[in-house]
Amino acid sequence: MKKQITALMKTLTATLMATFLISAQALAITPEGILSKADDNSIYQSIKYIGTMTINKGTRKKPRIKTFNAIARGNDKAYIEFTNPGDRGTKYLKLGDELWVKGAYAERADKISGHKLRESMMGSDYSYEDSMDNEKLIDKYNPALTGSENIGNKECYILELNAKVKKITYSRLIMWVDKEQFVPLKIQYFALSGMLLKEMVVQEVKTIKGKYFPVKVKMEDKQREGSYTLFEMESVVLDEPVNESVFSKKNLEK
Amino acid sequence: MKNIVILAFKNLTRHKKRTIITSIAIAFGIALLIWMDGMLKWADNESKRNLKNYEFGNFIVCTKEYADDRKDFPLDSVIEKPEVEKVLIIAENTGCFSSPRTGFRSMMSYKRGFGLPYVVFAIDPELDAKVFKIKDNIIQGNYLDKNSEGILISAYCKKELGIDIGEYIIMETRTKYNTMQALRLKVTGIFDCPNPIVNKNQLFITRTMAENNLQLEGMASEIAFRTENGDNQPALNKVKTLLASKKLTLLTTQTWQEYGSDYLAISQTKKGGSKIMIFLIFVIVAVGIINTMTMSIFERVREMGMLRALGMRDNDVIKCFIIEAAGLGLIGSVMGLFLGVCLTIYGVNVGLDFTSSFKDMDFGYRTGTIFYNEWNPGMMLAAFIFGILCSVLVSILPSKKAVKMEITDSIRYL
Repeated sequence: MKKQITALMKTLTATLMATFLISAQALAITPEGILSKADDNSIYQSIKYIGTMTINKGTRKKPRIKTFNAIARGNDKAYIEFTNPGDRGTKYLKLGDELWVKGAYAERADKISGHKLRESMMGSDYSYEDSMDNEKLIDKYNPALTGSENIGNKECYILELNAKVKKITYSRLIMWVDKEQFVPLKIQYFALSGMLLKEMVVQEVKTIKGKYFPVKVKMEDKQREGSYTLFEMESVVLDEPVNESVFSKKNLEK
Repeated sequence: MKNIVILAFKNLTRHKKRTIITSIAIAFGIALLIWMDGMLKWADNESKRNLKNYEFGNFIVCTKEYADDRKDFPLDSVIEKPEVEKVLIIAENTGCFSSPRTGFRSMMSYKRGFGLPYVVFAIDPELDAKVFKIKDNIIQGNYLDKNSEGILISAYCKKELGIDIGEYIIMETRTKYNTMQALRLKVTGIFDCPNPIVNKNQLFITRTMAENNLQLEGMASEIAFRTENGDNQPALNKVKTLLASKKLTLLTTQTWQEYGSDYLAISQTKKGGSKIMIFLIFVIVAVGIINTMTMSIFERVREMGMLRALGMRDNDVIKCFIIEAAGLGLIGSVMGLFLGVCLTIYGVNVGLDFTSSFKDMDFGYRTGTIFYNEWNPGMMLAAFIFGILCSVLVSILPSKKAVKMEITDSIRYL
């Protein structure tokens, strides 16, 4: 009997401790912690994938489809080569703050600078800046937990991010982060005036190398009716060594 | 000689129909020459006026980096507030009008429709009106006032976006710190100026509005200057000296000629093209004169044979025909000059409206679609002399050829 009581006590203690630990962990959830975890899922050392952009422009009846191969390392280097019939051979190379482009029939690459970096990439709802950004949000924004809401059947934290640095593309973001996987399932991008500019919704997440990585994303331009881009990634390889020579102008102009 | 002259003039009056038809052909060519030249001259000068009056002023003061990249309107190489104030004082001291402007690229849209790219200039309406003439070209609503929160759009923008006065336009742009900004602005005025570059690409808001929303902090990307007499150089030299004396060494000046060097190079090429055009018209006129004069002479080979049979010397016959051709040239040139002057008067006052034919086509000139004329007395005189000389020159060869024939052959010539 005594043994049974001891066993029961042990079980109860263990259950209580487990409950306490879980509650403590839940209580310890901070906006910074959520954002850091979301960053951990989104940020990569290197990436290699086959991408497809399906561009819908409201007035256009047929969506335009662009396919490409992309390789990137950190936030400094990226290389994209388009493979769809209309753009086959068009290549982009990002080297630090510089972006180079080489048209299919051009002999030499041209540098894209200034305002052109902010323009739409290949007519999509992504700017060149958007498409090549791989910086941690926690370094640029102050997060605040404003509530929770379901996105589909997934329970999410709602984070409001306000810029803590002056030089930043979007001064405010609202982010819905999956409570289980810490993946940002929806992000709204706001202008300095508070006007909603874009909305990104994650449609598919895959587990790659222990990360919950969004592989299908819809980016909608909230200022243009019916304008959105569906961005899909296939054959994603994360954090594998990448040949340095890929990120060279020589390779771009090849 | 007197008799030859009398005979030549009698010939002119004797063959009235031929004289009139030949003169009309010459007159038409001369008039076309005068009219085309006046129009091309106007287009060239008007383009330069419009470049200064609506786009650039006489010269600007800006940073060296901005001068190199002005086509991109960068907001990271601008004149900061203290320097702006110093440059405005320099403008006052040199007796120039000046206007600080900040240009930035924006995407404009209406009712969530498609976006169109424009360059928006943040201006001080009062100062800007002294340098540029946008204020004189308001066709609907009002020009901006200092505290206006609206936007001044062009008639072209109104048409492209389908927006009207009093409605709201969305302006998406970047602030000085590259942050996305979107503003809902009320259209308070619509302008339609004769510079197509400004009409098709530029919109205007106040500097106050831009200060409050684009983190501009008193900066300006350029300060446009307008000299009172329209001459750049003396004021420019003074401004350069004062910039140096106030240690504003990071700033530079750019004249409208430097800014418009691409256009001016094209303009020079166009001038070459215009000369070719004028030359071709000359050729057409010359061919017309040659044709009518040759026909007129060969028609009268029998008459020449008769004159020679009656004892008139060959040289006198040639002289007679040359004088007759000079007379024809004179009548044609007078008529052409008169017609050219009439067309020029019409062109100067009314102009030719190409709006429906060329709508959005780029002429390469910075002018509206109504083309006017400018007086060019030099070309009028040249055309007048050309008409007479050409007639004389082209009559020599057929006359000589005609007198080389045997008299008997001449008389039987059909």
